[in-house]
Amino acid sequence: MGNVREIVKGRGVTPGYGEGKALISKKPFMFAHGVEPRTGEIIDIRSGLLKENIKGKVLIFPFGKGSTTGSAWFLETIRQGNGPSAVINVETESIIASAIVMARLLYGITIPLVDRLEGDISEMVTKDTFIQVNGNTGEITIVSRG
Amino acid sequence: MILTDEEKAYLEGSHGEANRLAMELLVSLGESFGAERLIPIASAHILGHYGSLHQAGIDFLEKLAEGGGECRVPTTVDPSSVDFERWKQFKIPEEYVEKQKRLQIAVEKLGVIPTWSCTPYLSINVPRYGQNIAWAESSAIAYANSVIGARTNRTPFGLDICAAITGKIPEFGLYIEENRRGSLLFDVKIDDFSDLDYHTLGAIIGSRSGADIPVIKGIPANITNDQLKCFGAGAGSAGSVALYHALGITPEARLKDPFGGKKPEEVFAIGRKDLQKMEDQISTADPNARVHMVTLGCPLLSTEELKAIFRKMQKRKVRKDMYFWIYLTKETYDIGKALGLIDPLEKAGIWFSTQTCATISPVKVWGFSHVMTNSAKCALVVPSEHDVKITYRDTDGCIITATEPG
Repeated sequence: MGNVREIVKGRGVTPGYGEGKALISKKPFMFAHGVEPRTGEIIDIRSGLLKENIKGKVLIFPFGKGSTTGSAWFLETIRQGNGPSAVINVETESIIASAIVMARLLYGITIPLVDRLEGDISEMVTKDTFIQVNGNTGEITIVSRG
Repeated sequence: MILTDEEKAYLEGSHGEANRLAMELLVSLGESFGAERLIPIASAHILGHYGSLHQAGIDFLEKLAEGGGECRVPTTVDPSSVDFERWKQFKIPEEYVEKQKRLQIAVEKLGVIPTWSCTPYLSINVPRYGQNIAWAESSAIAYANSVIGARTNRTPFGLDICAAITGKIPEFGLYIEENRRGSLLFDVKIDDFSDLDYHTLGAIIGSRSGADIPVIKGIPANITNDQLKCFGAGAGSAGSVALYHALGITPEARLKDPFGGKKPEEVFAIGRKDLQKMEDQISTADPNARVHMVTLGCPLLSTEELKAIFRKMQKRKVRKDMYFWIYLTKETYDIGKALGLIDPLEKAGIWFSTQTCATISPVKVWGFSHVMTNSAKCALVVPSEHDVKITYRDTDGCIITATEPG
């Protein structure tokens, strides 16, 4: 009984390689007052993911929402070492993309960001599914027990 | 993306480290959003408050300042997390103030006009119709796009200052004509709008619109700039409205078909009972619970709004054990002082504060559990920031709660 690897193609928005357990939000995700930078804990009471932690996870959500300060909140979370290992969006927007690009420019931390996957990722995986994300090729690999 | 020779030179570092970094961010984002090119901007408005920027924001702004970054277009800055003059009175911890001061130094080194105001479009940074600008701050974005007809996306922190120092922004989203058309119609049937009603209507339309572009029918032509300011603040914080069209009022609605020839995807009717329902939703406190603090001035007050408060405060003083905090731009405070409005109100017990606001300064140090405000944006944002319950009430109700005859 080995691992099954399923490859899903998408668009690589930011470069890098990351892997980890999936944490899925079916709703648009908010970093401003949404994630505590000092711990990576989700603090948005309307997220449905209260008290979950994004650190090291493959964070999956349709797109970012909320205040234009969200990029700073996300950047600070990454600076504190509590960022996700990768981000998968349906269609990324500038709050999320800015934070990830700034993290690379400022701290040399690369977090792959992939969107426009063939298929609905939130239907293909469940919480804690192990996923490998390649931001250079835009491919993700879903690793599950065969 | 197709870059000009100058833009390529920036990317290669021939114009210094700050410009290289800034251009990298612009180009990375431009590529992500399908921009074909960068376009010049006429002005910028950036975020600079420690409470949201944190150490990472300080790191980024300092890196740009130290790398020789200088704003190439007139650039203003949103409110600070602290009142630079009165922070001790407001009990802001000194370490927190030191962090904000680092941002102040970086921002001034970058050549930003130190306005520390969320209403730049009313005074120091006034865009023109059709101009491309790069602004942050949802309420300012809503005003500049909708009331003036300038063009900006909801520019996130980081992209805002990089656009300011290069004078460029990737051409995507609301910089493109076809993307500025409305998709939702709000048919508003309300007699006799009050100031509070405009905040509430903004919250309703914001929450139903999300990030779509609403077209609004039924707003009276005599709406003031202050009321439009409050409406946009509500819409930008309850939802992500960056642009709205108000029939008969906003320029793009007056000069062309705001739906661009298409039919609205959805039509919503809004009446007095919808306003009442939203008012009730916005308030989270037990209406009988004691109010600890009353705050006005989100967005920051204009002179007209200050005069209205002065008139309502005749022969009244702040109640014992009550805090009544009113936030203004520095300009409004100075004009108010010259007009003789400030001293009597301070004598009556009001605490004025400039260049900051209750929404973003760390008022949680005071431990208030119940705050009253006349601003939908403040009511919606403060609870997540400060762990408080809110009562949302009009200006008269706020003044009656905060003060007594005397």
